[in-house]
Amino acid sequence: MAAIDSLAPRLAALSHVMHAFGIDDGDVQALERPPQDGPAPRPVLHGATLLLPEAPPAWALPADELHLAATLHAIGHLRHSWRRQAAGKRKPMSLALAGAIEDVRVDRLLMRRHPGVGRLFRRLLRGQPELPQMGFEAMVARLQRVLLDPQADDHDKDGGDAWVRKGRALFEAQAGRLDDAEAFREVVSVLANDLGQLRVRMNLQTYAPPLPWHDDNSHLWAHGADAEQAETPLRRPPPQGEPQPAPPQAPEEAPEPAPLPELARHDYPEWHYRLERARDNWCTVIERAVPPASASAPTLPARAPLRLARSRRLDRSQRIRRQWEGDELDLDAATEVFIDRRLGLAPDPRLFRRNGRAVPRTSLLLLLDLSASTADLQPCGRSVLDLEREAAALLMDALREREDRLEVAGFDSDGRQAVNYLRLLDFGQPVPADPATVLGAARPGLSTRLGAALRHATARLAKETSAQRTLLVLSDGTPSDIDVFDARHLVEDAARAVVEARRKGVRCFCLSLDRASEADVRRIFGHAGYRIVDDPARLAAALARSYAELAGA
Amino acid sequence: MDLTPYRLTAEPYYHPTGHEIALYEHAYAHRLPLVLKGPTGCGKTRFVEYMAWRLGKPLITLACNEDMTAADLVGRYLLDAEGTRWHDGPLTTAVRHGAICYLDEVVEARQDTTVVIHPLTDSRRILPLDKKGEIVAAHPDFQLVVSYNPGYQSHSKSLKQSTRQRFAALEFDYPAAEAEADIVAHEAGIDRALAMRLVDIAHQSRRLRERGLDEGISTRMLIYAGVLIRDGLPPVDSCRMAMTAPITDDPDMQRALGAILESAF
Repeated sequence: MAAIDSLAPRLAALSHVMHAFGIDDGDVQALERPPQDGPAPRPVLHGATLLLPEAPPAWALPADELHLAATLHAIGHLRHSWRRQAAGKRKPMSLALAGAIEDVRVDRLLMRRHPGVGRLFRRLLRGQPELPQMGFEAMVARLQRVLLDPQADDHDKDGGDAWVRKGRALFEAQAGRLDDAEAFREVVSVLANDLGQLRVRMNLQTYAPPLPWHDDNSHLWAHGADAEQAETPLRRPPPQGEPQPAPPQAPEEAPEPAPLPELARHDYPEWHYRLERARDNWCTVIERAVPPASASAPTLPARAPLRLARSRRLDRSQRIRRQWEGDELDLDAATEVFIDRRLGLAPDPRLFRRNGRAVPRTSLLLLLDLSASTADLQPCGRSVLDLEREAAALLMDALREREDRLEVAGFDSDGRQAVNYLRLLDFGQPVPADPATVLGAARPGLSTRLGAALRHATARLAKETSAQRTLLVLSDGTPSDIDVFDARHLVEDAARAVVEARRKGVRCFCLSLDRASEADVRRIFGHAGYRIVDDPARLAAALARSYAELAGA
Repeated sequence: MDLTPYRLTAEPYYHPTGHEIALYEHAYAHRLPLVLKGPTGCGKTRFVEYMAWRLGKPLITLACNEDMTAADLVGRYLLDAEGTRWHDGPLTTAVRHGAICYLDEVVEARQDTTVVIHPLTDSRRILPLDKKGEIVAAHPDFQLVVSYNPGYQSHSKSLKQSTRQRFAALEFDYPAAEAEADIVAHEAGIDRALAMRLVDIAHQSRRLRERGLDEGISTRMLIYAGVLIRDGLPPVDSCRMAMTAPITDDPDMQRALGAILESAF
């Protein structure tokens, strides 16, 4: 595990590299494998996800460079290589050789387009340990070396020498057609045939592509009935360096908790896009109270406190007098200047005044999606609800000292008759010293009838007298409910609820914690009304910016 | 007042990417206020300079910032030995004497500033100076051009509908790769192959927009990097200094951009 720790901080940057090279769904993760005998584990390319093992210790190379090279190589495969071709009855050695030639082909393509990649590969090659003398792997290694590094020379004088020279000549003869994988089939078949005649054997158990940035090429072949096993299943490593919050359990594992006490019931309309009209009193929102410090508090990972931007709004009620420069003359000061002049005194030149910055009071309602889907783990290894709780805690901490009023509520739904609105922290209530005490009551439950929850939140905000009323929704974004079978219905209803809220002067913004839901969130909140955060490391920054934008800071 | 200092003496370099020049000329013929939308560093300001030169009009440019107030635009009273004296702001100068007034990044300005341009941007074409008690009728040559970057997704940094609907708009984006390479090669004085390589890097960075980068690397940054390379600095250092280091503080993103640079040269 310690080994993977050192890789983890590089993964995000390597994913960015994949995106920058045009692999939009690319991702780089750590390959977690129990230590085993045999060759060091190789990178694995699974779909557009590259799984990286630690660098093999035998190579005296910076692990950084090796991981970057592996990522670039994977980009090469994703851009240029075939996927899952039927292996048919081809021999393992022939497949391995075809893979090795393909590896060199994609590396050469990358080197042609990006000269720095060539320098990187050659630097890595020169850190290669002494090559073994005999065997298939050694011959492949030598051939790859001379193909990737024109300065390298194959010094050995045994039989491998001639084969490597021949391979080099055959490959270079096709080098003008690097883009065409077919052009190298003939090269592979001639070289494989020669190996057969040389009686070179390949050890299936120990063979791995000789260059450590080359992946295991399992993505190139489909082996008939075993095709499914050819690719290594994805296993996500648990997040590193953070205490794991209590995992949200499926409801049936815990005894069904008694429903929280009801405070009030409110009926709201729902928009039916097929009918193009709202049905009155269609949904019932049930406000529920949280018993004080009831549920066991989840542990929230420690985070740097959120820094919220200072206000940018002007407030004419706050005039700053006696300034060196400003928008208008400060009449009192100007009068004094003239009096001073008459008296022969040096006047005070600070005679302007300007409008001060407002500290507008904001009422912020933070609406947490508590539906069952928020228990799903995200690519970062934590559930949406964990991230929601963490964001809420950050915001509560940051707003404790400010004049802004904050309400934190959660919602889930069980059909249109029962949209639960859980009041975790009410407007005007002091923010508890440890936000976890109120956030503990937020447990993943039922479905997501977002529109009704938005309408109720808007109604709560409408009672506020602050200059600004804002609604920040934390969600995984896709509304659903048990009595709705048209996926578009609740999206359209929620979009309608947002329009209505904005019309009432409530600013709405959504931080969605699941990239997969982007289309729905965009439909509901508009192109400038949402932000996707699927990386917990970016949560605080995204929250601070969303707050700044919402509060007009 | 003499507007000579505001006249462009030499033709600014501008590489058209569409028929924006003709569109601007028509807009100017009718003195339609214009908004230029586009990401930062894609050539909006250069375009306005070029058009001012082409039309032979003086150009008064104002970079808007969050501390800019209405008084900074229209003017204010100052004190002198006699008492108070009115001092025209740059917008008033342009309105009174007939210049193209260009408000760069107008959404950065405080909201009260955008309201003063309203009477100038409809059929009235007047600028009321309420503190002075004067109404300035716009000179026939006056035109208002503003720019902003729609990439900022922000409630506070966007134009109000009442402002928006007074303008005709031209949309800008980074030029197509070939054209962008021509521009970088010309402006930085580097060979075209190198310019193309810089453009490739910019395209890679622009793919990272919305994945952690707020904006990709702009044409302007490519030109800066090109200038440094022309001076003899190593390309990777030049690009890091002029292109990748400025655009983000995120260490993961810096690492990724560093890898992109290393792979490009």
